[in-house]
Amino acid sequence: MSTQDSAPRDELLRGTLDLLILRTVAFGPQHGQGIARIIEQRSGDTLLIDHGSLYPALQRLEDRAWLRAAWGVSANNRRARFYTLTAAGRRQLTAELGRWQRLVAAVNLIVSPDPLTE
Amino acid sequence: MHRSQDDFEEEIRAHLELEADALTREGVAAVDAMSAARRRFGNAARASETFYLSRSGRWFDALRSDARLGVRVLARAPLTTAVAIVVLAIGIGATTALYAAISAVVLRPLPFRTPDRLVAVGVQSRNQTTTRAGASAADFLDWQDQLRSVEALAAYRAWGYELDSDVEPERVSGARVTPDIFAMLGVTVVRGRSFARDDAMEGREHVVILSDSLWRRRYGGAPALVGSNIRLNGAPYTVVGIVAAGTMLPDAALWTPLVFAPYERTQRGDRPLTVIGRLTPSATFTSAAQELQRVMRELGERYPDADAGWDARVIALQHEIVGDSRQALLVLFVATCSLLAVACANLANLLLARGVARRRELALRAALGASHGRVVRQLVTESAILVCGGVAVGLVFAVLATRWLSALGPEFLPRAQAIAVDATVIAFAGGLAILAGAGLASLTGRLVRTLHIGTAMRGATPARAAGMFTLRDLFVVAQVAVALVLLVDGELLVQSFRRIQRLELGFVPQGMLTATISLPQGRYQHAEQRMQFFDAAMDRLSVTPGVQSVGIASRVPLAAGAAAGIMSTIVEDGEGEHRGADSPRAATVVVGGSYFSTARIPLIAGRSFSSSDRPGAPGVLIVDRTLARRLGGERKVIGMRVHIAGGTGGDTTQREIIGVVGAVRLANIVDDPEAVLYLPYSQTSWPTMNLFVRLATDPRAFTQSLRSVIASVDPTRPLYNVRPLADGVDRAMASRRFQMLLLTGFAMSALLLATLGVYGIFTFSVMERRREIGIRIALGASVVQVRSLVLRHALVRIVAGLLVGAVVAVSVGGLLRGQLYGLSPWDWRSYFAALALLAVAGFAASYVPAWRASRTNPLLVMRGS
Repeated sequence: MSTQDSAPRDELLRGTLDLLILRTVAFGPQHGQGIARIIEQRSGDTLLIDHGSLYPALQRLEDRAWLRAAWGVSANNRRARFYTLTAAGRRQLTAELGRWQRLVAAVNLIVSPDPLTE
Repeated sequence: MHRSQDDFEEEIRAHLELEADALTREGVAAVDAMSAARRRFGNAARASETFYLSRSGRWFDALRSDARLGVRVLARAPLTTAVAIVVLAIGIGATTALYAAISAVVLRPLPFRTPDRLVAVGVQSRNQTTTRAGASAADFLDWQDQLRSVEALAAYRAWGYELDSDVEPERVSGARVTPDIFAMLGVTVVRGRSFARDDAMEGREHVVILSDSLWRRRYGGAPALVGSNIRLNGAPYTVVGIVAAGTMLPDAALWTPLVFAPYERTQRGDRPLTVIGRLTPSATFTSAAQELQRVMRELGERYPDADAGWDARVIALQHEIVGDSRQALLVLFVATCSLLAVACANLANLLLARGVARRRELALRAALGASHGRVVRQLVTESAILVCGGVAVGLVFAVLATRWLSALGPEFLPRAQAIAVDATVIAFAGGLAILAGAGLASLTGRLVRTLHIGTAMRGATPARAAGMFTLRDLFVVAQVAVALVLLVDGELLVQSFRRIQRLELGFVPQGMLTATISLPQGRYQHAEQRMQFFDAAMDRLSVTPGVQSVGIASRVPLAAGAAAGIMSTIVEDGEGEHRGADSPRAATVVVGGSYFSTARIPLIAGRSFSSSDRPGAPGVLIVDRTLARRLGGERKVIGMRVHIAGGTGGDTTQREIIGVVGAVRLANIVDDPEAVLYLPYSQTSWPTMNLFVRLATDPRAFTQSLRSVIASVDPTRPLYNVRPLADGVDRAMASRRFQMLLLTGFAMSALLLATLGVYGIFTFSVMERRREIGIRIALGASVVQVRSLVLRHALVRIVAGLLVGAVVAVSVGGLLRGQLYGLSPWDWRSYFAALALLAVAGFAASYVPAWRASRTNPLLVMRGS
């Protein structure tokens, strides 16, 4: 996610990452490393992201009050910063999901085989 | 949310540890786990950076780090930094102090109710407009009656009082006032009451109102004082009120009611009253003056002896009180602003030179990613630190200077007590700081642009076309010009002062001791008692060892803060025409003993007073040369019979002029000696007189002996103002001396700064042209040729500065006109002296860099080191 990307592409990527994060945290409070692992494992190692790029996104979501953060202790007794979904975040998640599904449907309409030409 | 950078980094560290743990659990070797975690993390530095950039509080951090760096940089060159701060401090401090003086003395309205409606009402002689006067009692009453453009009119007369003669005597200056003066001015009487109309009736007038400072100082602020009695000039007065602190009109410690004796209501020759009034809402200064002019014309026709030939003079009260100081202060203020300008130019130049010397450092920062704005911001922060330092020290300096100025007192500068550093003054200093800072900031911006940071790394100096007019040339010209203007003005003031010092006083002050004695009503009610006292005193003094001669007089020449002396009009007996304002007026001085020989005032014609001029013998008087000339000539006046109107209070004795003495400067040094007439003490024994003792030795050493001799005559009589007469003369010159010293100080500072500035600029300029010079030398230029090359470059600019300075000095010359004595503001000798001095300094300042340039080693230069 380089800053030299053109804006629309950047936004698309950013929005998708936000969606993934919000969805992951919706299952329960999680720290940054945990979120990264969950996204990788759940997607069957398809979505591999730089862990580092997660953090600016997390900060952005926290700034927008969609996530709430607090320091706590992990399962292995390590100090970690846990993120929780706020009510506003839940609403944003629903909105993002809807947008994503509309996007997917639109793309599918274009790429799916045309009964006439196939 | 304000999350710190540290917190973010800690989260990243925590992430890496968690990831390392997870990897270890998945089977990665413990030693590789962390590096694997790092790899999977990606660019941690980038994440940190993105976080940092997204924070909005970072500008404040940047400012803090800029400031820290700035202080370190400045501390690396402590001498330069200290000099810069001191120079700035002096410039800002001096300008601020003078602004405080102007604000308190000239700008601030008088502490009265609607002060802009208050006027000073008086007259001036039609034929001699410098002769000004107040009103006689009769005139005042007529004005009160007839003037419609003033809603209230009040009069006062300065009067000396001796307090509590029996207890601890002290002499204060007070004033006798018409009863409604406080109400007219809007002055509050905080305890007791103000004067009532009844208080001004004869027999009821022994009441007094004290000033707040006198009440606190002498009576400890005791509330019980109101209603009790104190003794003034030996008689009991009831204290009826205390006025609010800060009241000043005039500078009086106490006020008593002004009562008009019956003879005063008809006799108009004497004009001792100062009159002030309050304009009605619809009147203007002009309309009031016109109305007064009409009234005076009428009075002049009805009473030609006293009132003919006087024109109305109605001016704003503030203007009357402030008077000439406005101009003097303005001159000083312009001088300090100029000095500040030179100081700032020097500072800018200093920073310019240091900035260029730091080219490499700045270029490095640019290469490491600092934006243009970032570099500028850091340099600006450095200048801002210098300016802040300068302002802080400058304010301290200003506070000290204003304390000193206000302690000089009102005789030096009217309303001086009010001079202080208050909110407006601090705001002014802040404004100066902002101006200085803004100037430096814009200069820094230019500097960074012209530095060609790219080429700086390679060690090359940017090529500049010769002969191009640069900012540095402007500095040279400006500094030289300002220095010249200040030098010219300083020299003019010095010459003027010298001329004043050489003026003939008319008497010899050295070796004389003076003291004031007051004889209260109680024990010295009768004239014989008073004469007896002074005769005894003078007799005993004349046999005291060390005393050469003794005399007494009612006025001390050039006494500090003297209220206007008693003036009288001389009317020749049998004179046909009524001369009114043109009647000769003269200061009236009562003398006794060998006053004239003691003061070394020469007798020009006739004789002096002698023992034959006793009470009951024919009245006599002596005139001075100035008065004699006005009456017809030194020889002619001897034997003339006259009588005196005014002054001596209804005295209609016919007197004969028996002698003429030399003219004396009585009131101040600069004005032409005024006319003086002398009356013998034996015929006019006033209660307050001054002793004059001429001594063979240092007058100050005689003080104790003088006190004991007087004590032997009457131990209850204290002596006031015992001081050598020469001191009084010095004090009369004090404010001029002060102005001259101050301006000369500024001029010398400007000279120093300009010389250093010129030296610095040209040294730097030579350093920049090292390559060119090295090439010239390598190609065979001689030492002389190189030197003259640099000198020519420098001298052109210095001469330009001198020309500009001369033009400016000529155009502001008019400002100085009122301050100079016997000297035109365009005196060519002063200009020449200043030009010569500055030209020599400038030449010397440019010669050193020129000499250094000629010693350049071309090999070293070519190698670019």
